[in-house]
Amino acid sequence: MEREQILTQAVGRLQSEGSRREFMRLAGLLGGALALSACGKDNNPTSPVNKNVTLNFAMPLDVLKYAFALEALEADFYTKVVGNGSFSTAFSSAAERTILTDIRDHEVAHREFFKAALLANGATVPSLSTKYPSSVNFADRTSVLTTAKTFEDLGVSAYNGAARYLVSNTTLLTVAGKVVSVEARHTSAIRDLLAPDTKAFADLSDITSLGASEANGLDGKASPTAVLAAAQPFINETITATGL
Amino acid sequence: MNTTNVMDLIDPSETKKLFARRDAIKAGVTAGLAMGSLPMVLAAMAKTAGAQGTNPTVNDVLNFALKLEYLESEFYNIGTGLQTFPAEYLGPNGVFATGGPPKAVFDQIAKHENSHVALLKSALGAAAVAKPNFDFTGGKGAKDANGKYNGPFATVFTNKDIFLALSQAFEDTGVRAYKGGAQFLISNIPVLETALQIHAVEARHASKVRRIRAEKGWISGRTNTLPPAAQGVYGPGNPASTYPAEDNTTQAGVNVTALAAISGTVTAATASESFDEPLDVATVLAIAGLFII
Repeated sequence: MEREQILTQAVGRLQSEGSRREFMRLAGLLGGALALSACGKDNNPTSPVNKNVTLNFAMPLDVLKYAFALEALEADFYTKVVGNGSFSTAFSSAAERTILTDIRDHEVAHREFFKAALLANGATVPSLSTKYPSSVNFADRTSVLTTAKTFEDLGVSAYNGAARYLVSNTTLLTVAGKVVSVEARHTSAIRDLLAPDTKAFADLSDITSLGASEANGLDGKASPTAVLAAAQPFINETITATGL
Repeated sequence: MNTTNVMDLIDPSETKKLFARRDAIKAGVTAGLAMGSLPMVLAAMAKTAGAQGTNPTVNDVLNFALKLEYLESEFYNIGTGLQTFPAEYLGPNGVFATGGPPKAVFDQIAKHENSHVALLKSALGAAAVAKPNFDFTGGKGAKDANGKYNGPFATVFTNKDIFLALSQAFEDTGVRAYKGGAQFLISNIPVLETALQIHAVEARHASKVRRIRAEKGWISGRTNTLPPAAQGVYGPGNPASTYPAEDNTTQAGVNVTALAAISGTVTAATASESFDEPLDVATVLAIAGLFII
């Protein structure tokens, strides 16, 4: 138990500082076997030593876990936005506060839905915790909306890119479709708050890195690997995609 | 928590068929399968098995989408002035007169709809359907003594409120149509993904148009400000069990209103807003048909 705690701390330090050398030094103190598991060679997401999560996209339930992770991040973000002491001063417009509160409620409902769907099918719900770079200022309107835009565009692209892993299950494919268009409605509204009544609500030219094409009128479509890389700065646990 | 296993959603007879189709399950999936995921995978196979034979082909779905995109593109091309104002409509075009909606928004929407038409025509090649003739007044081409279409929305291009209402109806219907069509594109992943990418763009459009009309960007129950003739946009499809109305609060057997919210449980309004509903081809074509001559 004590070794596990030390190792967990070491893993945390590795993630926060990006220092592989520091990690290997600490891991070396603990012996080779444990060090290997902490290096990510252990694919068992339930390992008490390794809180990191590996998702196998060949399994529809793991695609649900992926959706859960993204919704949990969004729900946490908007809960912090609306719950922030400066919410009504950062967002002096009641209409804007309603939009953000609605979106919070939607993301919480999405998170709870995917959790319920996982539990109903006997799967475990990933244990995840969030973190925010210092650039995210919950008391600042522009910072909140810019971060929200990033999350919503990423969410749309994530669902569109995950559909190929759900073709074996049209029930789940349709559910994902029911959620993704709501995320697209969100990003439209958020973008419009940043640049009202312009083409910004559906300007796809600034998300070509997410697979969008303004010339063809196509929204984003990003692989789980790309999405997780973009989401990782906001999640303490490392999420790895396999079976792609 | 009041939840139902996804397994319960399928016909038991389909499950039996599955055991004769076990070779259809990818070896890798079987090898890595945790016990807990078995019901979901079985349900998946059953859905696919049951879907064979009676469903629209990929080209059918693409042509269905193309019809809707033709409708949207012509509507916005007339409204934004991309196309010469047709003599059959009451004019002059007053949609973007002073005090009208922001034209930059509709220029962007028109651009996308034209791109969608081009993309679908290119994908279909010789199989692409021809553009129908439209009457956006909803009168099936009937004309008054002056030769103008005189359906219930006769002022569609002179009254911005009518134009905006139809825009919302078209965009929200488009979202439902692509969502309903996706399940028939699973045999062709690139086409499925392209359709979903269009689907999300239509949802961006819908959200903005709804907000211009002082509705929420998301569909809340079946309450809306569209005229009575357009109420089908938010109603059930056929069968309603597969294509529920937009006030649906049960998803994949999970009662969303029983789930935890920030305070208490999820309200019916939030449950409705959080999930958009698909619509079947026939119901969509019935709605679009109001505007096809």
